[in-house]
Amino acid sequence: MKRLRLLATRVLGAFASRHRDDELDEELRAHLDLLAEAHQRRGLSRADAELAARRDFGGLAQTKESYREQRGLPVLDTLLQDLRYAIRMWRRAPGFSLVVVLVLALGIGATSAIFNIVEALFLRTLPVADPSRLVYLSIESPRGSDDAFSVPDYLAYRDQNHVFAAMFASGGTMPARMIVDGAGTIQVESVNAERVSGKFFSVLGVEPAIGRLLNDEDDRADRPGAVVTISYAFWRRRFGLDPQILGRTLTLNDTPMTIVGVTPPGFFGFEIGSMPDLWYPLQMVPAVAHIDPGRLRDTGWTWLRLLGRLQSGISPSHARAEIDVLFQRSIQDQAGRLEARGALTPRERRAMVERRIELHSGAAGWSRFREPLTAPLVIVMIAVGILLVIACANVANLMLARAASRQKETAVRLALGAGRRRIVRQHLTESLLLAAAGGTAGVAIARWGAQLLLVALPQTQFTFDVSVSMRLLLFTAAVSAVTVVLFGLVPALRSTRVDVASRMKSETAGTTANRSSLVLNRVLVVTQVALSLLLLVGAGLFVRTLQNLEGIDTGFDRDRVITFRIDSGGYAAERRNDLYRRVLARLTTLPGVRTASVSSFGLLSDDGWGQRITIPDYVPRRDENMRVNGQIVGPRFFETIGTPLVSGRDFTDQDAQPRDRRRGVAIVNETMAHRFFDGRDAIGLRFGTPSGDSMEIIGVARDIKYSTLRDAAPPTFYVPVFQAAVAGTTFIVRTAAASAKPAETLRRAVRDVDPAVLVHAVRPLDELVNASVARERFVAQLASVFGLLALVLASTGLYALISYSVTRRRADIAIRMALGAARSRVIRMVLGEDLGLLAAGFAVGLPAAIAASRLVETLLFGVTATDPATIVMASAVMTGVGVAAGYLPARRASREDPLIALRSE
Amino acid sequence: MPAPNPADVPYGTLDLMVLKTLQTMGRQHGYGVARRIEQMARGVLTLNQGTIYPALLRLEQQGLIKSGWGTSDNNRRAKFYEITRAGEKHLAAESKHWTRMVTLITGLLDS
Repeated sequence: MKRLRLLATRVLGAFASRHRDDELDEELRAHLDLLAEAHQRRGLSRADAELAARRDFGGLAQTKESYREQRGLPVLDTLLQDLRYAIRMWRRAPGFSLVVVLVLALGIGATSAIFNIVEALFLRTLPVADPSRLVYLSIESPRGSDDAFSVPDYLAYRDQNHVFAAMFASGGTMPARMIVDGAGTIQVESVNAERVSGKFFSVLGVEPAIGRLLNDEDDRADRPGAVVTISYAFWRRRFGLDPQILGRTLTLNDTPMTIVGVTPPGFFGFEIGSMPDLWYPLQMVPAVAHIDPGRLRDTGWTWLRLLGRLQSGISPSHARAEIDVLFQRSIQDQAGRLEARGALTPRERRAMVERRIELHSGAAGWSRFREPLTAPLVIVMIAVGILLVIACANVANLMLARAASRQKETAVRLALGAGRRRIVRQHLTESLLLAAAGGTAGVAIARWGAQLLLVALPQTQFTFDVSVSMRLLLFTAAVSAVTVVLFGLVPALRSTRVDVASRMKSETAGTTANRSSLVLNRVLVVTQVALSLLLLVGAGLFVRTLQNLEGIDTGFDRDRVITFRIDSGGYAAERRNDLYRRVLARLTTLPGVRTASVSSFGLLSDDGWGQRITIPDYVPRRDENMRVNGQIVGPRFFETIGTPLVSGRDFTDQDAQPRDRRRGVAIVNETMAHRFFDGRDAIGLRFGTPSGDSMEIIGVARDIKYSTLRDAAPPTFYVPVFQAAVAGTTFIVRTAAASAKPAETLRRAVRDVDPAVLVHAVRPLDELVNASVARERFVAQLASVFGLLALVLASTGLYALISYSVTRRRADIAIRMALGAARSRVIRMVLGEDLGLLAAGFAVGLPAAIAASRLVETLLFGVTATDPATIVMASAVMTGVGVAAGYLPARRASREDPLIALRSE
Repeated sequence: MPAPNPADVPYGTLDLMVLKTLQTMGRQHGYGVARRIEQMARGVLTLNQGTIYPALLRLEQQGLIKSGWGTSDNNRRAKFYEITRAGEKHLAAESKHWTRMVTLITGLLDS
């Protein structure tokens, strides 16, 4: 206690020391006066008395010094002294300080912005009870990781494990049509509904804000009357926090459900990036989605994510082992059943059994955005890291230049007996202060930048919280500290390596004699050039990738085509088909609409229907993959998307009538025609599926990039909508001219047909194509921005170094010119130095760029990692800017009057 | 053996002397404390009067004395120090400890 108080007073004592010094001075003066008076009273003269007083008192300076030491903490004292000094230096060179802080803020801020997203997506722990004991399950195989399970899987693990205190399943968050009771007119709205098992809330350990949360009783198949729990945000947004909400009914896709409770504020479940409005029991899924309740027993329908809370004392590896035993047993059973039916090739069997269960920590939740965003974030993080290093190298150079201009001052301090460590510490304090200012500004940039990034990120429905967290502040502080080491340490150490005597004697920086001291500056500039080249090459490759993807021949005409979706969730097949027919009929009557069609999977939705086919007279090779891509489309589909048929005809309204499965019609794409009907005219030929369908080929269509732009079109067949069991949801409309408000017109048209369905995702096809390369665009844009920033930093670094070097050699150059050297010769000389630095940068940077771009090869499209054109382009840009940076100081040097230059030396 | 010169103040004893002085003399300024100690120690110890200031500060930081500005007998502004209750307690304990030590050392040296 006493010690604490002592420390506190001493820490306090370190501050406001000027006032305290004044007080001490006054006290000591009073003492000396009293002492002198006493001596005077004993008969000494005034002068002698004062002298005697000083003698009695002892060393005044020593007293003050030891008093000061006692008053504060010496370490803190010198730190404060250093800080005061640093601030004084700032005031003397505000421009320099501002530039340094800005460069650092940019580097630190950009790094922190990326970290902010990484933190929100990967690191932030869930706002639930004891998240560290949560785990989620996945199936690992050599082909990758899969975290979707079927209902029977879930029930088996739930009922047979001895390692989880409890577990739950979630069918994910899906949009649903909702109608709230009590409204006079029907008002349909789209809500995000998560399908969860009964233990969802109890495993996560949340308490309701009001009412109660779902439990096992609610999730029983035989339970009469469905119930639902809504989120706090939804309660506020939709119901204005109405306390009478409990007991009200809302209708999800025609299934009425009673609201029994509200989750606490801030709760969103376990999926990062998704914000469900409500949760309803898994057992209600067949009713809401209008599917056969038997599907819940289907082991092939994998749509659940499984999470469990480990029992205390059970390790994750132990739990994994036990669940894996259950999993292996079930796949052996499955394989056995399939083999008995002869529906399993040896290769498929191998693929089936080489899978195993893995457990992952659920502390930070689960997110479907993690997998697709990992690669872009890693690339951006690396680019940002390189940018930070360039920024630090740049600042280090500035610091070196300044340390050089302060050499005389340092020499004086060393000569007066200042310790080397003391001076290094002084310099480091200055760097620390600059980094702290840069870091503080960086936090602001990080927050703003993260929001900007979220908008640019290739996913649309992010609902991340990217507010400034403690972890982000710590990260930023750590990065700032690293920058101090990167840019401050070497100049600080260098600053004391001064030959005191010669430094103090020489007035100016001198001539060529000590040019060697620029070696470090050169190394730093070369580093910047090399790293900038690396970023420029990377930016070039990503821009080329984007251009290639954007310029690709999709096989369809994307202009003046609008697509939209209809959510008629809950309609039985007959009613739905009827709806689609009427909507299609209505659409074609709209003014300006040329044709309209429908497809089950939207273009570029990266979705499709894998289907094994059988062909009469075709003998598959051993292990040949007979699985092709199936698409379900409406009449006039090819006319609407503008894809020509190579032969045969498009689907008509007659084709789109329900008909006998064995007498269907199909259109195949060129790839499929080539592969299975090699050389023959495919029209009139037939193929089928193992389940007994048989289809006659009525047309061959040009290949199109149906699912993704990157991959070549797989063998694909098209069957008419309404013929197949699954019906289409995406409508496609080709218009004569760009309509001003297509969305409104289309919505009204659909509402005229049926007011209870929802129209959403109204988008021009062109936009859809662009959106499908959003990830590539994101990476290309960021890489370009970073490349540009790096270029700016490196060229200013180059410019500063050449200018400085020219200033130091002013006398040299002046003498040469006085002796008759031509201006062009001076320019050549200075430019030679500039080109030397550039060449060294290229020597390091080009191999590094080629090596690094191999790492991103899988993300490129239509361009190789060592694409010569890109490398030449990046090199040309770097050279152009680098030469310009050197030419300016060169020209200035050549224009100087040698007489004036020499006189000023 | 050379004639005994006045010794320096033994380490750690100055605080005790200052504390005792303030207890017997009451509220006092630095000069008064220094003069009093010097008078008492004349011929035994040499005291640089300046050294009592760090000691005063140390005692104040420990809460054993407190200070405030006031006016001296001859109307001069000066900083006055006085012992606190904690200081009294500390002095009593330290005095006892000191006496015990002296008895011990004397006993050892006499035997």
